[in-house]
This record gives sequence, C-alpha cells and structure tokens, in this order.
Amino acid sequence: MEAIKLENIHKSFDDKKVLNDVSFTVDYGETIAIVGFSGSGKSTVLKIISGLIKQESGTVSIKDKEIGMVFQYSALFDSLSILENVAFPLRERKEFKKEYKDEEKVKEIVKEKLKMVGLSGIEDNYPNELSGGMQKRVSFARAIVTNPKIILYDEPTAGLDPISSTVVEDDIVELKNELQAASIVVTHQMSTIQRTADRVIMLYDGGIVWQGTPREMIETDDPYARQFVNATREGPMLTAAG
Amino acid sequence: MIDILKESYTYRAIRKIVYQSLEVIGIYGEMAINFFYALKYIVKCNLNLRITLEQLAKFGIDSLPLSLSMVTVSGMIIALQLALEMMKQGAGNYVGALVAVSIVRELGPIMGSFAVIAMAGSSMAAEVGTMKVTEQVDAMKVLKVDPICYMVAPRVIAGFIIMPFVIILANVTGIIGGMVVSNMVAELSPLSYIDSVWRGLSVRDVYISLLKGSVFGIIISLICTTLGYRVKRKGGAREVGKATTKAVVWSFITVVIVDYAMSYVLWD
Repeated sequence: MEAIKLENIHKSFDDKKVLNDVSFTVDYGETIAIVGFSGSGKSTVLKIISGLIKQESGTVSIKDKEIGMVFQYSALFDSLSILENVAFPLRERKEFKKEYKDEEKVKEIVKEKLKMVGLSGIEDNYPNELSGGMQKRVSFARAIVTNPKIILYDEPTAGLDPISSTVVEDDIVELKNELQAASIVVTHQMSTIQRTADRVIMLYDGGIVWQGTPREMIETDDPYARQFVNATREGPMLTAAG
Repeated sequence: MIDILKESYTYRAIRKIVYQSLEVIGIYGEMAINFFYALKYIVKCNLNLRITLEQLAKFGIDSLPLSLSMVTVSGMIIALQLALEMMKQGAGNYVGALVAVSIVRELGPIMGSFAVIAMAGSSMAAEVGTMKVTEQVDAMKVLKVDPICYMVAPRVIAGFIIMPFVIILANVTGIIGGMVVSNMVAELSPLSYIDSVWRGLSVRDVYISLLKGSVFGIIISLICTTLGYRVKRKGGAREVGKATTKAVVWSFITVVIVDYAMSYVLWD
C-alpha cells in the first residue's frame, strides 16, 4: 500500500532548477534509497515530503500525518538532555501532553525507544557529550517516539566511521521491520544502499535518471548507475566538484 | 544609456536605500506576525513553563547586575553635574527631584533596556540563529512543534513580566547613586534629597516607567528572536554573528524611538 506518492514535482532555488518532474511512490514496509551526487536535489525531496519547503508544482500525497525525520547532522537540541530530546514531541505537542502527563510514562517510552536503537543509560547526557554515531541514533529514537509510519533519513551515515555506519544501517533495517514504516534514505554511500534499500532512485540534474534494486544497480549497464557505482569521472554525470 | 545610469553613484545609493527600506519593512512585518502568533499561544496558555521561567531568569537575574550598575552610574553622573551648581544657585531642594525624574522617566527604562539588550537580547538572537543554522528549528517543525510557540512566545512573555521589575530596581539604585554623589560633592543631606525625590516624583511617573519596561521587554524579545529566526542555514556562523549584531543595533534604535513616542504621548 502506497504511503508516499510524489507526482511531477518541480522546485527551483534562485532560478536554479533543483527538481524537474520527479515522481515516485513508496509503500509501507519499503525502504527506498535516493542517491546522486551532491547538489542533485536529494535532500530537497525529503524537505518537500516533510513539509519544510513547498514544491512549485506537482502533488505530494502522504497517507500518514506523522513523519519521523533523521537529519544529516542529527539536529538534536543541544541545550536539552537526551531524555528531553527524545521526549520533546511528547511534552510539547498538545495532543500528547494529556496522554503523557505522567513523567514516569514519558521516561519509560524514551528508554524503550533508545533501547530500540541500541542505547541505554545516556538519558541524562547532553548531545555534545556523545559521539557522532550515538547522536545519530538518538535522533533515530526522537524520530520514532511518536510511532510514525513514514521515516525520512537525510544522509544517516555521512561522516561516521565504518563500524558506526554499519550500526546505523542495521538500525534502519530493524526500525523498518519493527514499525513496517515507509522509509526514504538519502545517501551516496554504497554500503548504506546495499544494506538498507529495497529500491534505489538515482537523481541527476533534478530528474530521476535510473531506478531499480540495489542488486540491479551493481549489475546494470546503465551509464548513470555505472558511473555512480564505480565512482568515476567518466560518464554522463558532471559533479559539482568537476 | 541605462547601463551608464546603473553605474552611477546616485542610482546605487537609491537602490541601496530602497533595498534597506524594504528590509526594514520586512523585519518589522515579520515581528508583527511573530507577535500575533506569540500572543495567540499566550492567550491559549499553550506555553512551555520551563522555558518561560528560564527566560525570566535570563532577562531578570542575568542582566540585573549590568542594569543596576548602568542606571546607578547614570544617576551619579546627573547628580555630579547638577548638585554643586544647584546648591550654588540655592536650588539644592530640587536636586533629588531632578535626578529622580530623569531616572524614572527616561534613563532607568532606557539604560535598563540597553543592559538587557546587551546581556539577554544578544544571546537570544545568537541562540535562535544557531538553532536555525544547525537545523534544530527544522527538526522542531518536523516534530510538529511550532518554533514560534516554543521559542518566541516564552521570551515575549518573559520580557513583558520581568522588565518592569528590572526597571524599578534600576530606578531605585539610580536615585540612591544620585543621593550618594550629591552628598559627597555638594554635601546635600540625604534627608533633603529624599524629600526632594518625593516631591518631584508622581505615581504616574512610576507607572509609565513600568509600562515602558514591559513594552521594551516585548520589543527586545521580538526583535532578537525574529532576527535570529531570519538566519539562513547556508550563512553559517558568520550569519549568526551578523544577526546578533543586527539584533542589538535594531533593539537599541527601536527602544529609543518607542521611548520618545511613549514619552511624547504619555506626558504630553
């Protein structure tokens, strides 16, 4: 069943076309990876789905109102403790305030969500006291605290060491299995694509140039996919770095 | 022809003035909108109590030493300029009244606000700006918590509530500072100074001073949060720095202009 449907999305920033007629769907229980070089519009897609920015034209249909999002640099509230970060929507949103009036109940939920991402005993710490990987996992916990059925990950493994990346990738898979959520992972790391995605969408110059499974991505002769997988300069795609 | 015109100094100057005027209108417009939404949340009692208390402390306690020192020194300076001269002219009975009226009507609210802008306002703009740059504001929006409700409304209500207290304390210390200097410089007895203060000041002066405090509190929090909120993510640390400076300058200017307007209307 379709959880997210994007139809003919167009978006420009300062006369620069970032998304040009992008359409795709994501089902519940499915994880798609959006890949592409830097500046190809990957994060813009997530921001449009999450409602942070508006598309110029096209329609976005989202079945579930509740969306969880993991930001590239975690975006944890640095003046709040981990407990306060994860509990943030439960304490601040009117619809949850009544339900979670009991502080013990809030703490219990926070502990449970932190456990789901393999963390415990850090509730009283502050974000700056944690490693990059741990911060990322705390932001996972915060994203799922309201039990969303749609989870968006913006470069979840960027800047992490290989082992932390693997832990984060495992978390993405586990969360998908546990919550049966529709997930979109924006990444340009092959390991993340291979370990987490059911389907891959490749963006270039604002449009979708290739899509298929992670396995097909390795095996295809498509010049776009080949260039990305082999990480070569030779190919149809020109990167911002030249 | 058009190119030559575009190169001219006049054209560039006019263009700059137009752009800056538009920016001023934009910022004040945004402030008005933020104020409207903040008011909506305050009326609905949908405020975060912890943050409101935190901001009350920041506005009040953190900026109190500077506010008190600034207004005290101002009172001392006025007394230094007035006391000896007025005693010579046989008008020593008016020293207390003059110091008190200038402190309570103008210098207390203005200098107290300047201290709050320097201590609380700048940090407010920097804090909100940093949250914007590090995507914390975006995270808040995705979590369906309105940043205006979480960040602006508690600061507005904190400014409104605590500023009169800061101003009243600053007024008192300013008057005391004037008394000490009058006694030291012109040997004016504290008793006649206080007597003069009572005769010179009216209850209306005190009320208006407090009202000014509340209005300036709202203005400072609105300007500082709005300018912090306008920081663009791509601007990074430099943009946060610029926003902080801008917030301080704008707050100073706005407070002075509003002070003039209030004095004109309320004491006319």
